[in-house]
Amino acid sequence: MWGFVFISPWVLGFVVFSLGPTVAIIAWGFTEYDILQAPKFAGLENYVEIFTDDEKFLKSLANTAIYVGLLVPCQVVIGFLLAVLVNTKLPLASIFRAFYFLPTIMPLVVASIVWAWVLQPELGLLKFLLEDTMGIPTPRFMVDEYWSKPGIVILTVWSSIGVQMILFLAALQAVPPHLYEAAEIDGAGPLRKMLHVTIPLVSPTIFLVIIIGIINSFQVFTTAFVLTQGGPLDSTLFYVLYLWRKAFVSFEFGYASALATILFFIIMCLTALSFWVSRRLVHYEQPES
Amino acid sequence: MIATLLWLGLVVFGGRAIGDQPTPLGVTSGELLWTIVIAANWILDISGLAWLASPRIPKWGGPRLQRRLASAIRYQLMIGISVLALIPIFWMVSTSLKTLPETYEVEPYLLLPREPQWGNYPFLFTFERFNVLQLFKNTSLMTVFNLVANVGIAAFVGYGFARLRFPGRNLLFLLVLSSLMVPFIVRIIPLFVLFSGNTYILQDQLGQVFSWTIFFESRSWAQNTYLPLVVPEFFGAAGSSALYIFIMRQYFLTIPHELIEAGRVDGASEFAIWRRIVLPQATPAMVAVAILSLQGSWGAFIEPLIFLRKVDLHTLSIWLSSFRSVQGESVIQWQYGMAGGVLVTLPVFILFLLFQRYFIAGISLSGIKG
Repeated sequence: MWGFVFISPWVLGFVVFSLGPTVAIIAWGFTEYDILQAPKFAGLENYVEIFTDDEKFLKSLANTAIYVGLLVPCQVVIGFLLAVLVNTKLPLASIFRAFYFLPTIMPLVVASIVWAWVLQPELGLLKFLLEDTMGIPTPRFMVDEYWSKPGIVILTVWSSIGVQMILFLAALQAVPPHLYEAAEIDGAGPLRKMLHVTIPLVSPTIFLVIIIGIINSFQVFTTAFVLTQGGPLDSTLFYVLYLWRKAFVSFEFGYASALATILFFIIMCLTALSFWVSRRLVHYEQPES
Repeated sequence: MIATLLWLGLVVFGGRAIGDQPTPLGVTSGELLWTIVIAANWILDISGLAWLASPRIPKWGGPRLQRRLASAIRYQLMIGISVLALIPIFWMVSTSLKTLPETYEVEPYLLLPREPQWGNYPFLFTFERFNVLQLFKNTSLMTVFNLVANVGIAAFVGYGFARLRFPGRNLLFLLVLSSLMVPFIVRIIPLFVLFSGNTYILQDQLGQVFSWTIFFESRSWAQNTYLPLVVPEFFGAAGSSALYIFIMRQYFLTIPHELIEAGRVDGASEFAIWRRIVLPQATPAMVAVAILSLQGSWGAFIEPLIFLRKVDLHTLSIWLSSFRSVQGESVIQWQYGMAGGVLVTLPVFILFLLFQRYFIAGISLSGIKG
């Protein structure tokens, strides 16, 4: 019974700060609640409004989906390639690893305002380096409706890639060398070794990076809040940013709760979907008995 | 590699836009320069590294040369990507030392300030709207509280999940991990209601029954305090607590069974075993959790933004985010924003340099951050 003693703080915290809030959010989704007065039961009113009469809901959901769709593949591919690159015993490699990890250490707010300055349309460093120095036309990341999301994706990749690199690096180093030797004896070149040995063996990590990526990037807030505040033309009005405005700017807690319930539902579905897909695609190494 | 440095040096110290002059070849000088730089870069790299790697000049072709070429290319890529990773950081530092007119100069474009304005840093502490010293104090206090809470709770609960047997353990642990799926906004809205004191729902339904709800009678008992930022951490119920519990549990699983059994044979209580035998063994994992927690709360943004609605309670990250919008001035004062960024980043950078190993161990153990 000592076990229960040890986990009791967590159980208490889970009930009060995770389970309770989830139940409360689901319940408040059916009410009209402005926090100053007690919630009034409103049936499905919030949901009817969200799905039939709220353009910003659709817009923010679409924005978020596009953002996740752009960001997560970038994180997987770039993170993996970077790990392959630094997975070497050459001298100085560990210094380069530390360099790639530095942006990840930086608080996200700092990274955001640094990039707001780098991507600034008239004075930014990027415009100078690409357009003025080399003559490459540079998109106006922060003011162009179509380039604002890629701008945030670039910032996020820059500031998070260290994590993905470390994860893939750990996975690469866990691949048993004898598999490569066996593949070499069978006459496999570098490409074949990559496709038939490395990728199947790191597929659990690919799956992990995708799931974490989806859960985290669906809740993108800080970068958009600092960089663009949802603009231009609502092109970076992401779901949580919209939800935050409903809850903490206009204090429509009932409506915001309904939105939060939908978000929770979406994240659960996406996670379940990824688990279902991974059953088919991910290769888990059987421990040798 | 050498050419990259040369090129950077040229741009930095030349300090002007070199792009637009026409050349006899029909391309702009920028394009020409770029092509030459890249070509020279590769030639220098490959020949230079091949030469550096061996005292004798290798035979042309053959596996040795191939290997050298491969590592030359690897170095080339690693350096190129480091430049990409570090340029924004360089830009932050450089801008922080400029004067206001210098940040708005385009012709010539200044990559370095003419005269480093070290005075920008002390100036940050003289702002009227924000007392930056107070912000540092607030942020550090919150960070320290959360650190103690996270390490303590994760070590305690993690041990329970790792080494003690009780019914439903695996199911409960699955619940720990699944709480990572709960969006932070779902947790924050009820927390806001709870701590704002406007808990009508609690009063209406429970108020008659439980006397403790008298607490809530005084409307704003916890409004504008750090409580909602700190209390959940003490119950392992904040956003990343599950992660820390997971890290500690994984580590405790590696502690030899005999050690714990020996304690039990000696008649020590489970608590004493945890405190005296297990904890001293778990320092690396605790350091990893401490560092992740520290980095997390130092840069925390959304919780302070929502819960701390008074200027003198703000944290550093809120202060920094306000630089993005024009504060009563007609232009954004980028140099102060960047100087603030440097100040806020410096502590975590130093920490990273000191504890790099634990940082990386923590992340590869947990797999999740940020």
